[in-house]
Amino acid sequence: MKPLAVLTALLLAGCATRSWTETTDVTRAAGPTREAVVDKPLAEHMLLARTGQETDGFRVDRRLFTDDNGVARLPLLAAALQCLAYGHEVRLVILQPEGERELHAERINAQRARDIIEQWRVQARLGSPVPLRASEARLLDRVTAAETPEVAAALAEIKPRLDIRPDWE
Amino acid sequence: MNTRLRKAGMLAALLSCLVLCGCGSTSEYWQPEQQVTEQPLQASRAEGAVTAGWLEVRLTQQVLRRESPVERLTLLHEKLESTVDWDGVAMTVVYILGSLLVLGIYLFFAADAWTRKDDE
Repeated sequence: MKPLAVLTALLLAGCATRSWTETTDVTRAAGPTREAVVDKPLAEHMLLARTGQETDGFRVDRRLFTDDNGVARLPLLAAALQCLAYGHEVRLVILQPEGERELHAERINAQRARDIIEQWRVQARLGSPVPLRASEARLLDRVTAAETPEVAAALAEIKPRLDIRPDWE
Repeated sequence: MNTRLRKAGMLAALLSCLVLCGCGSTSEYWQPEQQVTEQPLQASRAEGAVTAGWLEVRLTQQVLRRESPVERLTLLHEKLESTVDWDGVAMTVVYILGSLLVLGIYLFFAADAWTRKDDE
């Protein structure tokens, strides 16, 4: 009888309950269906931001990604610098990558470019980094030399706060 | 009589244990959930706004959203099972035998040392 007792004790000591749920494909209606037309924010979508290409090949060309609220942000400083450096109005377009359908466009003329630089001066004074690519940052010196003392002073304040991003990013 | 009773009790305990190990049940219940389907009505569109030197583009799409409250059939399984396996039993036996062996060797050498000390 002793082996039986040992075996019983072992089995009892090792007994355990296990429970788990299994969902099935079977459903039943529990109320009326509601329909509504809504504007849904498109999260995690890629957009392209581009300006016209200059004779030396410069252009603002970035990829943007929308957040959970469907919002993508682009600093306008690069487009403003392009406008002042090349001396003509710049058209910044937001494109959908599939088929390059134009979704939005911003026109930046000289006056608006100076306003944007002034806004970035305020940002720099407040301590915000100024994100620019290396090719865009090279326009800073060119604009500083060519523009009015007010714009040059603003750019001088912006320059120490530059956050140079690689061109491939 | 006592021996018979004990034997019968042990056998009954073992049988009940084996039966318990094979026990299990499945119950059904309806889990409420919301089924949402969206059907695009238009192509996506963007609205831009300029704030503090940044262009903020909000990408949206008009969709027809259908929300249907449904209940999904869910199965709850409960099972009583034994977790004892032969590997575990063998390991325990080896552990006990090993411990006895170590203790025996220790006592053997200790006795030898004590005997020599007494001789001196």
